[in-house]
Amino acid sequence: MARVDRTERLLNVVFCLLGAARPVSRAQIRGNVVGYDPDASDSAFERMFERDKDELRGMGIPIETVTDVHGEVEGYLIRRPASVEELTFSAQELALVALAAASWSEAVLEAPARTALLKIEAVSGDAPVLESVGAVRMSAAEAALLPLLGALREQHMVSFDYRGAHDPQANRRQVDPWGVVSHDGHWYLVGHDRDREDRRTFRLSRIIGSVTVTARELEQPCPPELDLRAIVRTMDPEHPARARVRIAAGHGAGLRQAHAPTAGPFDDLELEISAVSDEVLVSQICGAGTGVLVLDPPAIVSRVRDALTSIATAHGSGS
Amino acid sequence: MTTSGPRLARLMTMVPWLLAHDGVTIEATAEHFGISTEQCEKDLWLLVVCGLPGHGPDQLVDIQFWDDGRIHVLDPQTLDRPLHLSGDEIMALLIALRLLVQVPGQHDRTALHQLIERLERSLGSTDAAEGLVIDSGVASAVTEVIDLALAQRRAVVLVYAAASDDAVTERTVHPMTVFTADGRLYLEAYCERAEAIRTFRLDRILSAVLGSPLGEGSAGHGEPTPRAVAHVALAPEARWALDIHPFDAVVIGDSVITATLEYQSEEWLTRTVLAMAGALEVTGPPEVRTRVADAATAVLAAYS
Repeated sequence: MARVDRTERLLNVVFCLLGAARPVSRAQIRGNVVGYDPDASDSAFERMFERDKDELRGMGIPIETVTDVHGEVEGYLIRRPASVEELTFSAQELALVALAAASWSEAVLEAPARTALLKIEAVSGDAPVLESVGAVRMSAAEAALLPLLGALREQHMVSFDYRGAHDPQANRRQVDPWGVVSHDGHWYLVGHDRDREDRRTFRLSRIIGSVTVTARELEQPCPPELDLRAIVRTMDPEHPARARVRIAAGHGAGLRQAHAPTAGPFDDLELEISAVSDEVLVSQICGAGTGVLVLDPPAIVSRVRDALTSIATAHGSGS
Repeated sequence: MTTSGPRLARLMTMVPWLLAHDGVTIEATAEHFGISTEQCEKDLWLLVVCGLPGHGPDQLVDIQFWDDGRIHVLDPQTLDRPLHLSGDEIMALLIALRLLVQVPGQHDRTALHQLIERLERSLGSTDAAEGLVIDSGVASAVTEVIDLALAQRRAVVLVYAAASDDAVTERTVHPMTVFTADGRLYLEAYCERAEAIRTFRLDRILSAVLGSPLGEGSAGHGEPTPRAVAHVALAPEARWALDIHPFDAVVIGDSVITATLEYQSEEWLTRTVLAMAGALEVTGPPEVRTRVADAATAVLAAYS
């Protein structure tokens, strides 16, 4: 018998399991699916089938394992979607989906974005070609993104070799993933580092080699209401010059953007700001005008008052 | 071992797509799936030998395509509809859409938000939906103003924090297009100050105000907005500011630098003088001096 192509065997497995009325046992699969060598040993078949099953699941094909009342594996099946509702989109939605899928062109999620669109087009009709202002293009790098997204969905611990900016060499990290964040042209993982027993942020481009998604459940789930965006935004190296300021509602847009990006523009705020030097701090505080008041340290307060007094005097105030 | 993933995924979506496009040509199918016609024929030949266990004649996928180059699915077996979207597929779309919603442009933002919510529900995992954050760094108010400017062909007055020198400048620009590169968003626009096309990072735009409508023709560059001029004196140690703000008629003396400073918004001028922390004095006109003095006094009042 001619050797059967691997893709053909996988496709046969899919046909065998897809929409099966009852779970299909391993013995039935072995006997019926063209591509499994009938003369192979039990262990060779087991290895082959396990690998095929993993690959199909890795592609997002939902192979269900059905167990009987004693917990023994009875067989496998792939449920046929009961309806095509999930894939039914209006023409306008379809255009946006196509735009989203195209933005991954030559980037790391190109393949899933493409199959998503093809599935949707099979049901909703072909997407129009969009001439759009404001197309987006995802960055090409970060092979670690795909396994981390999977780990986030499954809520499983990941491990990987990581070399931080100041690390002399890479270290193995075991992390409960809480979030995957795109910020300022980079991807980050925020999670609980099991060995350091603390929250850590990792830049995906500093992950060395591949990411292992373990079968282990999270030890530390993500705290509710955790602001992942703020965690990644405030990770920048701290500046030496610091001051505490009070910002009134609707004022200090620049300082808000830099130091309290998530606060509403119409909240009164008290926060610590930082800059490369005292001169820059004084300039930022003075330039923000009314509505921004420096509280601390006293040296900065007095420099700001001196500067404003000299401006007022120079421009003829009180004369 | 070669990976069969992409081909398998294609084959599985091809059957329902062909079913919905009865009589489509091999060429059109190849183009739609981004493959060569040879590969498309190979795919079709593979599909027709696959089917249900037993491989009896009634248990095979039946596709006819060798008569006239047109494809007819006679029996799709159980592949008559695509499988559910996988987690990776949903997240790939979600990431792009969540970025897209932050990009100024001619999108229906309400439709975008609804689509995002729908896909989040499809994902079926709030942990994953909430744990996936796409932060373009662009203030939504900035997105809205540039949106309107592009749609109505109007100028925008930007307060822009340049990355190179940390200088904040005010510029009137005529937005042309928005694009992304490596996850960052950029605005390409004609800058009146530079009198040239410039690229601005959207996350460095501190504020944006809708400006005047752009005239027809002249490549959309419109009429320059009228500007006012203040006379200023600059301390020699603050000479660096000459490179940052639109000074003109600069005379560099030993103890003082005199110049004119162009401005459009009085608020910008006042803030700029305050931010110079005493190194810049407005020498005229008098009403501008008064405004600066009043602003400094008003801030000082908060400290007493």
